[in-house]
Amino acid sequence: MSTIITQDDIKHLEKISMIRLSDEERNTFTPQLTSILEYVEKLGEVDTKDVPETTQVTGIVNVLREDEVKPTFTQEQALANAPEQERGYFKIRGSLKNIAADA
Amino acid sequence: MSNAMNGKSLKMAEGHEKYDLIIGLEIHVEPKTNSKMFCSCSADFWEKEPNTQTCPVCLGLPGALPLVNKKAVELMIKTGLALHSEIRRKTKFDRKHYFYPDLPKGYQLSQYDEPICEGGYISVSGVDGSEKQIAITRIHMEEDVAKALHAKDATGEYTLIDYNKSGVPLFELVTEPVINSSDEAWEFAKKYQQILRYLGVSDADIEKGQMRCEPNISIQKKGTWKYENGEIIPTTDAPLLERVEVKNIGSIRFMKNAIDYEFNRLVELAEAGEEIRQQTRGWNPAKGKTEFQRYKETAQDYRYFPDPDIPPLEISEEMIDSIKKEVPELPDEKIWRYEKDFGISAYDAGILVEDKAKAEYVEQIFAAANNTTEIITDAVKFLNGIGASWSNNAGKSIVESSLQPKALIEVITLLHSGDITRNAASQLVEKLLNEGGNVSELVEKLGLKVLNDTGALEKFVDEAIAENPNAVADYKSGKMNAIGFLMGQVMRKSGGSAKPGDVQTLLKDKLSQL
Ligand SMILES: [Zn+2]
Repeated sequence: MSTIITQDDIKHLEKISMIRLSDEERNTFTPQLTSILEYVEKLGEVDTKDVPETTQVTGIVNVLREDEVKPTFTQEQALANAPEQERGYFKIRGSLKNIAADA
Repeated sequence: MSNAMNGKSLKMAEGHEKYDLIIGLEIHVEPKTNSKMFCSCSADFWEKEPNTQTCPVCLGLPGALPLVNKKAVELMIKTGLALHSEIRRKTKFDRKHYFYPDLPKGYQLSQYDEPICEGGYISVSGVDGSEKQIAITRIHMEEDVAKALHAKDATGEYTLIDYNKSGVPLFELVTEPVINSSDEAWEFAKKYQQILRYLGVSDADIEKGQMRCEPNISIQKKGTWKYENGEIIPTTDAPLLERVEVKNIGSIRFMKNAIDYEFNRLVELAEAGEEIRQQTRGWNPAKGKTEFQRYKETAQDYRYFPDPDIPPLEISEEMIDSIKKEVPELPDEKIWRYEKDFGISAYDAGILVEDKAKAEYVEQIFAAANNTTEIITDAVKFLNGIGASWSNNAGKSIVESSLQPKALIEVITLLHSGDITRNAASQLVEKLLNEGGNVSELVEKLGLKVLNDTGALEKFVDEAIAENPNAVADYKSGKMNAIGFLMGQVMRKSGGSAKPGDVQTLLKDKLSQL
């Protein structure tokens, strides 16, 4: 199995990460990501024939919370780390209007 | 109707002869919980100061641990049971990744391959008026995103974010692409809203954005496609036409308008031989049209994976059984029962059960009538007649009127025993709707009791004959209709308290003696 990263993969990653790279950066990252993936692929050598797919390791189920409202952050606390704020809102520079996600 | 409208509907009719309309719906609803889906912040974000209901979980701060809201899960199970869905016994939450500032974690907690509810349906009226079951694919749980306001000033464009809405529970219902008209889509959404309200699961308040509709729409030439295993597939060599999604429509009526608009637009494109590209559009209510947002060239890459911080849920039979007991009789079941037990038409019954409060009021009336069909038949006439006009005029539900269920039945009982006339009964109901009151006292006060005094009635009849020689002459010359006029005169003299049958008999008797 090979995991050669192509320029197209990099462009796709740029898109879903919402970043823009220069050609130079793409040329740097393509071999770097390839070598990272090749390294991780070592795991593929482990025999997992009899190991069930696992997404949880604790075996715990049904951790539920009663529907009760508890005190939360004040507006000041919530905005404490905001790089910019306006009238109690977090403020983000740049146009985001047209990149609305399809959620 | 204007000429433009005529032209438009004509075009639509032609379009429908040549093309099929294929619609699938996604409907997002906020259930009625006190707290958010995965944290204890208040879920009631409406008109609150921005960013006053947040915590590390819903702000997506590192190390925060989400905890599932039990009530939200129970409400979804209740909804699934009401919509005939299968409730999964094993279910889990997944991370759906995308970048947007209204989503602070960089992923939305959602459900990928193990939604709480699978399958189910809502019945609507099909084209020929018969029942059509619209299949539901799934209903899954997710969290709402923050509110983003886009603005611009001298320094450029910017976005303001309020995280109060971030993490509020959200149900996403997805239907199969089996809806074939804007009317069916409208009825589906209306009935879903009605059921949610009956269940007490959500107010589904459109104004507050508690219900959002997203139709995906395509047209296909008749005879070129079929629906198989949940998919629309071509039956000829020609490729199918691409579909359009209209996102985030904040009203059921607008959704219907958007579908009609898209149908016309797509037919025009297809007829002009232009390419239809898969795309996302938005509804502009001010302009009454959809607007292009972006093309959807590639499938979304959300990189779903199970959330490692939220242990899976195992839903027990006991839990399902106890929730089942809380599912009330739903509108369709009531309509069916009213038809079967009392012979009430589906149309009339539909009006009686339009909302839960009204249905409960109607049930009280039926109980006061001891479930007697004759009395109930008249009660429905009054409710959907005078009652409905009263509601329209007052702009209120009949539940808010002063008419007590027992009082209505007293009026009908008096009508049936012959103590008051139908005309008097209507007067009484009108009075009771506006002011309420004691029925027998009102009958007395308004002098509505039927005139059983033959002497008094005879006097009115004699007067009417004496005062209207022309009508009498007409009657005598064979114009039998003239008796109607004379009857009216007598009724008026009696203040509506004479029994029409008695008046007619006595009039005929007196006239024959002339
Ligand atoms: Zn929170």
